[in-house]
Amino acid sequence: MNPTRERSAIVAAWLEEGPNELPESTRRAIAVDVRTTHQTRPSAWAPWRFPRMDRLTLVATAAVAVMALVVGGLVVRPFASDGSNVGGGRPSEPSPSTSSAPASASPSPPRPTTLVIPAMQQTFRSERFGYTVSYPAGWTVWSPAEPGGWSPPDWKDGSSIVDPFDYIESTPDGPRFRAGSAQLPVAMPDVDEWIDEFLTYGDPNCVPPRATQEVINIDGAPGRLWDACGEVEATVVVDGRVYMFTLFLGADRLTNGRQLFDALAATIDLRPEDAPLPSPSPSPESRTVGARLSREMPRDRAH
Amino acid sequence: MRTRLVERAKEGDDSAFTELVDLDGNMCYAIAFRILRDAERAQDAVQQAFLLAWRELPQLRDPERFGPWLHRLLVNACYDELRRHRRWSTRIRALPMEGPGGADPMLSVEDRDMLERAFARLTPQHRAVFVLHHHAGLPLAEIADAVGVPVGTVKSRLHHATRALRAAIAADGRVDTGEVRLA
Repeated sequence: MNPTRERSAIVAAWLEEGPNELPESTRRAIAVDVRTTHQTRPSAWAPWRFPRMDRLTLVATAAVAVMALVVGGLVVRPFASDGSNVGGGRPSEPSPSTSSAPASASPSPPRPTTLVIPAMQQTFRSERFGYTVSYPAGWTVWSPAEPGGWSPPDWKDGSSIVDPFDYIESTPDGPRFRAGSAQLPVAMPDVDEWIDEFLTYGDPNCVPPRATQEVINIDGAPGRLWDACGEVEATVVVDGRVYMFTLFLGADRLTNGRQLFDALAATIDLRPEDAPLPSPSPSPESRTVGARLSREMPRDRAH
Repeated sequence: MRTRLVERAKEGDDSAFTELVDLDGNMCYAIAFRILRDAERAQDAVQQAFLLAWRELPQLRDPERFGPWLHRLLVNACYDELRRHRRWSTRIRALPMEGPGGADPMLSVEDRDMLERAFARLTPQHRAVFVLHHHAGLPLAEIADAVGVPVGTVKSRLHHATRALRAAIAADGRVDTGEVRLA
């Protein structure tokens, strides 16, 4: 077992240890709770509209509503904020949320934030994957040195605690840039389908098929990009090597994640000649694939 | 069957809800224990989650969504437990090893100690994502639903937690470190 798999097995074994059966005393306590607690019923004190309303009632109700709005507007207007807040009540403040608010039963999502795109002041060179990228000062590079390189079909096994990519991160829950590359099989039916099958990893509702993704360009190489569900991801094929660059936006819900990705991507220098030679991957023979691949690989790129 | 039970429980049938507890209680407890690393707090979190589920069940529109909704309540109950007991979080205690097969012989005392320490340093959010994925086997989209963040954030948190735990194992020198930290 190689060190990576051994580490994964140890973590997995540790995670499996521990109790799996809810004690009987807790079950009984829940049963008592249930018997002694009333359920919260949706409010039903009044119908949301009158079941029947004749024309006269409708007109009268509309007139009352308009009058109420006019009168309300006149009353509220003098106290409307003009920036001075003089004579008015306290400006409204968000009410503090309690952690155990029962109705929401969910954490309130963080507010969307807009990041000031920082200068890319440092450079990381990945000889393993064959690229360089610049990144902001203060971000940290993590580059796992997995023996034997990266095999996309193995990686896509979601149950494995193996992640061979390079990561450049700001804070544990902030934006995080991920990069990796792998040699494509010599021949395959369709590069888009291969990438969809072996590389793209996520909620199918978030990730469109590669063939329908936005066409982009990284370091002169054409590729595809999708931007949804808190991440921006581009795949580029050059010299028979597929690169995948992902920006995880983090918990801050950046509104300009794409802008940050573009700023990082603009500094990428693809250097497939730096990456180690791959071990041959079995794949079905197909001549059409070569045509597709060559279409994605610009001939005039110089490194 | 589960959907029918949820519908009955929504109407106030407490015996139907008790059956739901029978069905999902073990799963919830196993998840809560692994997030909290404490049997008593896990029991409290499960009890809290089920009590909330019972109280708010009439508000649940789609009975098919009971499972993801319960996960969300459970994760929030675990967060509450961790918040409530944060001041005690530094104490070290012996953990029960009463898994299906008892203590795993593959794990040394040092492994356990390192992993427990590394896990204790993770935020509740990172712990939850790690456990829901690697123990409960939930798909990323469902985890995102349970913890209320986008799928990309789930992946990011998963990577952070995984790396921290693997680094803990590597730190004891038994396995070569596979990671290089730069800059």
